[in-house]
Amino acid sequence: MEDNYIVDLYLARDESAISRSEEKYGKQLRQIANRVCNDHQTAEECENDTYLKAWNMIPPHEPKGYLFSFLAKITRAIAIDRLKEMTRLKRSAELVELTTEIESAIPSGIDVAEDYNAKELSRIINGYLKTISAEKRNVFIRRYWFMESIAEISKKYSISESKIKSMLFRTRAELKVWIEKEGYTV
Amino acid sequence: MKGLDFLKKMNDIDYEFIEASNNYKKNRNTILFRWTAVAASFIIMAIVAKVIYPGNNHSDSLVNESMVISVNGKNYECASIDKLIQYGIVTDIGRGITEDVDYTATADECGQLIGSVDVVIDGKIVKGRAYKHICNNDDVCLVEYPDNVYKIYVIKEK
Repeated sequence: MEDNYIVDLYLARDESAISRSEEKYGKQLRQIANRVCNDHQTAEECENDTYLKAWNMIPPHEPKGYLFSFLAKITRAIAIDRLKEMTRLKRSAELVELTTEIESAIPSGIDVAEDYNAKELSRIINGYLKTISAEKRNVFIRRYWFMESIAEISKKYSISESKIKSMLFRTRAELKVWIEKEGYTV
Repeated sequence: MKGLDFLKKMNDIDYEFIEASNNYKKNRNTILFRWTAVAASFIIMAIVAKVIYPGNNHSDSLVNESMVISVNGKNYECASIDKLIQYGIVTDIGRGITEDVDYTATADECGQLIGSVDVVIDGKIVKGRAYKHICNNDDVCLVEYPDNVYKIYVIKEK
Protein backbone atom coordinates (compact mmCIF):
# COMPACT_ATOMS: atom_id res chain seq x y z
CA MET A 1 0.00 0.00 0.00
CA GLU A 2 1.21 3.46 -0.84
CA ASP A 3 2.70 5.43 2.05
CA ASN A 4 0.70 8.50 1.11
CA TYR A 5 -2.54 6.56 1.47
CA ILE A 6 -1.52 5.40 4.96
CA VAL A 7 -0.64 8.98 5.91
CA ASP A 8 -4.06 10.05 4.65
CA LEU A 9 -5.60 7.45 6.96
CA TYR A 10 -3.72 8.97 9.89
CA LEU A 11 -4.84 12.42 8.86
CA ALA A 12 -8.45 11.19 8.61
CA ARG A 13 -8.08 9.71 12.10
CA ASP A 14 -8.79 6.28 10.69
CA GLU A 15 -7.43 3.65 13.09
CA SER A 16 -6.70 1.26 10.24
CA ALA A 17 -3.68 3.52 9.63
CA ILE A 18 -1.98 1.71 12.51
CA SER A 19 -2.67 -1.79 11.20
CA ARG A 20 -1.57 -0.70 7.71
CA SER A 21 1.66 0.72 9.14
CA GLU A 22 2.26 -2.43 11.12
CA GLU A 23 1.60 -4.56 8.08
CA LYS A 24 4.06 -2.65 5.95
CA TYR A 25 6.79 -1.63 8.36
CA GLY A 26 6.24 -3.57 11.59
CA LYS A 27 9.00 -6.08 10.99
CA GLN A 28 11.59 -3.41 10.15
CA LEU A 29 10.63 -1.30 13.15
CA ARG A 30 10.91 -4.30 15.49
CA GLN A 31 14.33 -5.04 14.06
CA ILE A 32 15.51 -1.50 14.76
CA ALA A 33 14.23 -1.68 18.33
CA ASN A 34 15.63 -5.14 18.87
CA ARG A 35 19.09 -4.10 17.70
CA VAL A 36 19.07 -1.46 20.43
CA CYS A 37 17.29 -3.31 23.25
CA ASN A 38 18.38 -6.84 22.45
CA ASP A 39 15.02 -8.04 23.78
CA HIS A 40 12.10 -9.14 21.63
CA GLN A 41 9.37 -8.23 24.09
CA THR A 42 10.76 -4.75 24.64
CA ALA A 43 11.15 -4.35 20.88
CA GLU A 44 7.46 -5.14 20.41
CA GLU A 45 6.56 -2.59 23.09
CA CYS A 46 8.71 -0.01 21.31
CA GLU A 47 6.93 -0.80 18.06
CA ASN A 48 3.50 -0.35 19.65
CA ASP A 49 4.58 2.90 21.31
CA THR A 50 5.75 4.06 17.88
CA TYR A 51 2.26 3.74 16.39
CA LEU A 52 0.73 5.58 19.31
CA LYS A 53 3.26 8.39 19.04
CA ALA A 54 2.81 8.55 15.25
CA TRP A 55 -0.96 8.72 15.81
CA ASN A 56 -0.42 11.74 18.04
CA MET A 57 2.10 13.39 15.74
CA ILE A 58 0.10 13.07 12.48
CA PRO A 59 -1.24 15.71 12.14
CA PRO A 60 0.41 18.21 12.36
CA HIS A 61 3.15 16.18 10.66
CA GLU A 62 2.39 14.82 7.23
CA PRO A 63 5.20 12.40 6.43
CA LYS A 64 4.17 11.80 2.85
CA GLY A 65 7.04 10.22 0.97
CA TYR A 66 9.00 9.42 4.11
CA LEU A 67 6.63 7.47 6.33
CA PHE A 68 9.13 4.71 7.01
CA SER A 69 11.90 7.01 8.17
CA PHE A 70 9.38 9.00 10.19
CA LEU A 71 8.26 5.87 12.05
CA ALA A 72 11.81 4.52 12.26
CA LYS A 73 13.05 7.72 13.93
CA ILE A 74 10.33 7.38 16.57
CA THR A 75 11.12 3.71 17.17
CA ARG A 76 14.83 4.34 17.41
CA ALA A 77 14.42 7.17 19.91
CA ILE A 78 11.98 5.16 22.06
CA ALA A 79 14.29 2.12 22.00
CA ILE A 80 17.36 4.12 23.06
CA ASP A 81 15.40 5.80 25.86
CA ARG A 82 14.08 2.40 26.96
CA LEU A 83 17.61 0.99 26.98
CA LYS A 84 18.86 3.82 29.16
CA GLU A 85 15.91 3.51 31.57
CA MET A 86 15.82 -0.23 31.96
CA THR A 87 18.93 -1.48 33.63
CA ARG A 88 17.70 -5.06 33.27
CA LEU A 89 18.28 -4.86 29.55
CA LYS A 90 21.62 -6.38 28.72
CA ARG A 91 23.46 -4.48 26.04
CA SER A 92 24.37 -6.72 23.14
CA ALA A 93 28.01 -7.14 22.21
CA GLU A 94 27.12 -5.62 18.83
CA LEU A 95 25.75 -2.45 20.44
CA VAL A 96 28.75 -2.14 22.76
CA GLU A 97 31.07 -2.48 19.75
CA LEU A 98 29.04 0.05 17.81
CA THR A 99 28.99 2.67 20.57
CA THR A 100 32.72 2.21 21.09
CA GLU A 101 33.26 2.75 17.38
CA ILE A 102 31.23 5.93 17.21
CA GLU A 103 33.05 7.35 20.25
CA SER A 104 36.12 7.58 18.03
CA ALA A 105 34.24 10.19 15.98
CA ILE A 106 33.70 12.40 19.02
CA PRO A 107 36.44 14.99 19.46
CA SER A 108 38.19 14.82 22.81
CA GLY A 109 37.04 17.38 25.34
CA ILE A 110 33.49 17.41 24.06
CA ASP A 111 30.71 16.18 26.28
CA VAL A 112 28.03 15.09 23.86
CA ALA A 113 25.32 15.06 26.52
CA GLU A 114 26.11 18.62 27.60
CA ASP A 115 27.66 20.42 24.67
CA TYR A 116 25.25 19.63 21.91
CA ASN A 117 21.54 19.29 21.68
CA ALA A 118 20.14 16.76 19.22
CA LYS A 119 19.24 19.36 16.61
CA GLU A 120 22.72 20.89 16.64
CA LEU A 121 24.46 17.57 16.37
CA SER A 122 22.11 16.37 13.63
CA ARG A 123 22.69 19.60 11.72
CA ILE A 124 26.44 19.10 11.92
CA ILE A 125 26.18 15.45 10.87
CA ASN A 126 23.78 16.31 8.04
CA GLY A 127 26.27 18.88 6.81
CA TYR A 128 29.02 16.29 6.78
CA LEU A 129 26.86 13.58 5.15
CA LYS A 130 26.09 15.91 2.26
CA THR A 131 29.80 16.12 1.44
CA ILE A 132 30.43 12.37 1.06
CA SER A 133 29.46 9.85 -1.61
CA ALA A 134 26.06 8.13 -1.51
CA GLU A 135 27.72 4.78 -0.88
CA LYS A 136 29.73 6.02 2.10
CA ARG A 137 26.70 7.85 3.44
CA ASN A 138 24.43 4.83 3.15
CA VAL A 139 26.94 2.55 4.85
CA PHE A 140 27.40 5.07 7.65
CA ILE A 141 23.66 5.36 8.18
CA ARG A 142 23.09 1.60 8.09
CA ARG A 143 25.77 1.19 10.75
CA TYR A 144 25.16 4.10 13.11
CA TRP A 145 21.55 4.93 12.53
CA PHE A 146 20.00 1.52 11.80
CA MET A 147 22.69 -0.09 13.98
CA GLU A 148 23.19 -2.98 11.62
CA SER A 149 26.14 -5.32 11.89
CA ILE A 150 28.99 -5.14 9.39
CA ALA A 151 27.90 -8.54 8.03
CA GLU A 152 24.33 -7.32 7.42
CA ILE A 153 25.55 -4.22 5.59
CA SER A 154 27.98 -6.29 3.56
CA LYS A 155 25.18 -8.58 2.43
CA LYS A 156 22.73 -5.78 1.75
CA TYR A 157 25.10 -3.66 -0.33
CA SER A 158 27.28 -6.45 -1.80
CA ILE A 159 30.44 -4.86 -0.42
CA SER A 160 33.13 -6.87 1.36
CA GLU A 161 33.26 -6.59 5.15
CA SER A 162 36.86 -5.37 5.07
CA LYS A 163 35.92 -2.58 2.67
CA ILE A 164 33.01 -1.56 4.89
CA LYS A 165 35.26 -1.49 7.95
CA SER A 166 37.84 0.69 6.24
CA MET A 167 35.11 2.92 4.80
CA LEU A 168 33.60 3.40 8.26
CA PHE A 169 37.01 4.02 9.78
CA ARG A 170 37.71 6.83 7.33
CA THR A 171 34.20 8.25 7.70
CA ARG A 172 34.51 8.41 11.50
CA ALA A 173 37.88 10.11 11.24
CA GLU A 174 36.52 12.67 8.76
CA LEU A 175 33.41 13.23 10.87
CA LYS A 176 35.57 13.89 13.91
CA VAL A 177 37.48 16.58 12.03
CA TRP A 178 34.19 17.99 10.72
CA ILE A 179 32.66 18.20 14.20
CA GLU A 180 35.79 19.89 15.54
CA LYS A 181 35.64 22.40 12.73
CA GLU A 182 31.90 23.00 13.12
CA GLY A 183 32.15 22.96 16.89
CA TYR A 184 34.08 26.23 16.89
CA THR A 185 31.42 28.01 14.91
CA VAL A 186 28.40 26.82 16.91
CA MET B 1 27.35 6.62 28.01
CA LYS B 2 29.13 8.85 25.53
CA GLY B 3 28.63 6.69 22.42
CA LEU B 4 24.98 5.98 23.13
CA ASP B 5 24.30 9.68 23.75
CA PHE B 6 25.88 10.43 20.42
CA LEU B 7 23.78 7.79 18.67
CA LYS B 8 20.64 9.14 20.30
CA LYS B 9 21.39 12.71 19.34
CA MET B 10 22.02 11.83 15.73
CA ASN B 11 18.44 10.57 15.52
CA ASP B 12 17.34 13.70 13.69
CA ILE B 13 19.43 13.32 10.57
CA ASP B 14 17.59 14.13 7.35
CA TYR B 15 14.71 11.89 6.37
CA GLU B 16 16.01 11.76 2.83
CA PHE B 17 19.26 10.13 3.97
CA ILE B 18 17.39 7.48 5.93
CA GLU B 19 14.99 6.78 3.09
CA ALA B 20 17.84 6.64 0.59
CA SER B 21 19.85 4.16 2.63
CA ASN B 22 16.75 2.03 3.16
CA ASN B 23 15.83 1.98 -0.50
CA TYR B 24 19.37 1.62 -1.77
CA LYS B 25 19.72 -1.23 -4.21
CA LYS B 26 23.03 -2.28 -5.62
CA ASN B 27 22.86 -1.71 -9.32
CA ARG B 28 22.65 -5.13 -10.96
CA ASN B 29 24.42 -3.76 -14.00
CA THR B 30 27.33 -2.80 -11.75
CA ILE B 31 27.51 -6.33 -10.39
CA LEU B 32 27.26 -7.81 -13.87
CA PHE B 33 29.93 -5.41 -15.11
CA ARG B 34 32.19 -6.38 -12.23
CA TRP B 35 31.87 -10.11 -12.94
CA THR B 36 32.32 -9.54 -16.65
CA ALA B 37 35.50 -7.59 -15.89
CA VAL B 38 36.76 -10.43 -13.69
CA ALA B 39 36.02 -13.01 -16.40
CA ALA B 40 37.69 -10.82 -19.04
CA SER B 41 40.75 -10.44 -16.82
CA PHE B 42 41.09 -14.22 -16.54
CA ILE B 43 40.82 -14.61 -20.30
CA ILE B 44 43.46 -11.92 -20.87
CA MET B 45 45.74 -13.55 -18.29
CA ALA B 46 45.33 -16.91 -20.03
CA ILE B 47 46.15 -15.39 -23.43
CA VAL B 48 49.19 -13.55 -22.05
CA ALA B 49 50.39 -16.72 -20.33
CA LYS B 50 50.01 -18.62 -23.58
CA VAL B 51 52.00 -15.99 -25.47
CA ILE B 52 54.77 -15.85 -22.87
CA TYR B 53 54.91 -19.61 -22.36
CA PRO B 54 53.90 -21.11 -25.70
CA GLY B 55 54.82 -24.60 -24.61
CA ASN B 56 57.42 -26.57 -22.80
CA ASN B 57 60.38 -27.24 -25.05
CA HIS B 58 62.02 -29.60 -22.67
CA SER B 59 61.64 -33.30 -22.54
CA ASP B 60 59.65 -33.32 -19.31
CA SER B 61 56.45 -32.14 -20.89
CA LEU B 62 53.05 -33.14 -19.65
CA VAL B 63 50.53 -34.32 -22.16
CA ASN B 64 46.92 -34.80 -21.32
CA GLU B 65 46.45 -37.71 -23.54
CA SER B 66 48.78 -40.62 -23.89
CA MET B 67 48.06 -40.72 -27.62
CA VAL B 68 50.07 -37.54 -28.07
CA ILE B 69 53.36 -36.68 -26.37
CA SER B 70 55.82 -33.83 -26.63
CA VAL B 71 59.54 -34.53 -26.61
CA ASN B 72 62.14 -31.81 -27.16
CA GLY B 73 59.51 -29.48 -28.48
CA LYS B 74 58.14 -31.93 -31.02
CA ASN B 75 54.76 -33.53 -30.82
CA TYR B 76 54.44 -37.20 -31.45
CA GLU B 77 51.40 -39.35 -31.79
CA CYS B 78 51.07 -43.01 -31.08
CA ALA B 79 51.60 -44.68 -34.39
CA SER B 80 48.81 -46.32 -36.25
CA ILE B 81 49.57 -49.28 -38.47
CA ASP B 82 49.34 -47.01 -41.51
CA LYS B 83 51.94 -44.66 -40.05
CA LEU B 84 54.26 -47.54 -39.22
CA ILE B 85 54.02 -48.77 -42.76
CA GLN B 86 54.60 -45.22 -44.03
CA TYR B 87 57.81 -44.94 -41.97
CA GLY B 88 58.95 -48.38 -43.00
CA ILE B 89 58.93 -49.72 -39.47
CA VAL B 90 56.60 -52.56 -40.17
CA THR B 91 57.08 -54.85 -43.06
CA ASP B 92 54.77 -57.57 -41.91
CA ILE B 93 51.32 -56.09 -41.39
CA GLY B 94 50.42 -59.04 -39.22
CA ARG B 95 53.10 -58.07 -36.68
CA GLY B 96 52.70 -54.35 -36.34
CA ILE B 97 53.31 -52.23 -33.28
CA THR B 98 50.29 -50.00 -33.00
CA GLU B 99 48.60 -47.91 -30.37
CA ASP B 100 46.62 -51.04 -29.54
CA VAL B 101 49.52 -53.43 -29.23
CA ASP B 102 52.17 -53.28 -26.55
CA TYR B 103 55.68 -54.16 -27.62
CA THR B 104 58.81 -55.27 -25.86
CA ALA B 105 61.85 -53.70 -27.44
CA THR B 106 65.42 -54.87 -27.44
CA ALA B 107 68.31 -52.61 -26.42
CA ASP B 108 69.33 -52.22 -30.05
CA GLU B 109 65.92 -51.05 -31.06
CA CYS B 110 65.76 -48.29 -28.48
CA GLY B 111 68.54 -46.05 -29.70
CA GLN B 112 69.57 -42.83 -27.99
CA LEU B 113 67.61 -41.57 -24.96
CA ILE B 114 66.18 -38.24 -26.00
CA GLY B 115 64.10 -37.37 -22.95
CA SER B 116 61.38 -38.38 -20.60
CA VAL B 117 57.69 -37.67 -20.86
CA ASP B 118 54.69 -37.72 -18.60
CA VAL B 119 51.89 -39.66 -20.18
CA VAL B 120 48.36 -40.15 -18.99
CA ILE B 121 47.10 -43.68 -18.84
CA ASP B 122 43.65 -44.38 -17.47
CA GLY B 123 43.63 -40.97 -15.84
CA LYS B 124 46.96 -41.54 -14.07
CA ILE B 125 50.16 -39.71 -14.95
CA VAL B 126 53.11 -42.04 -15.48
CA LYS B 127 56.66 -41.25 -16.48
CA GLY B 128 57.98 -42.66 -19.72
CA ARG B 129 61.40 -42.53 -21.31
CA ALA B 130 61.61 -41.54 -24.93
CA TYR B 131 64.27 -42.99 -27.20
CA LYS B 132 65.24 -41.94 -30.65
CA HIS B 133 64.23 -45.00 -32.56
CA ILE B 134 67.26 -46.68 -34.03
CA CYS B 135 65.56 -47.38 -37.31
CA ASN B 136 64.76 -43.84 -38.10
CA ASN B 137 65.43 -40.17 -37.50
CA ASP B 138 63.75 -37.81 -35.00
CA ASP B 139 60.45 -38.41 -36.70
CA VAL B 140 60.08 -41.63 -34.78
CA CYS B 141 60.57 -42.25 -31.09
CA LEU B 142 60.07 -45.18 -28.83
CA VAL B 143 58.58 -44.62 -25.42
CA GLU B 144 59.29 -46.97 -22.60
CA TYR B 145 56.46 -47.19 -20.10
CA PRO B 146 57.15 -48.03 -16.46
CA ASP B 147 56.15 -51.65 -16.86
CA ASN B 148 58.77 -52.21 -19.55
CA VAL B 149 56.43 -52.09 -22.46
CA TYR B 150 57.12 -49.82 -25.40
CA LYS B 151 55.10 -47.91 -27.88
CA ILE B 152 56.22 -46.29 -31.04
CA TYR B 153 55.31 -42.65 -31.60
CA VAL B 154 55.71 -40.85 -34.90
CA ILE B 155 55.95 -37.14 -35.50
CA LYS B 156 52.55 -35.49 -35.46
CA GLU B 157 51.69 -33.74 -38.66
CA LYS B 158 50.55 -30.16 -38.23
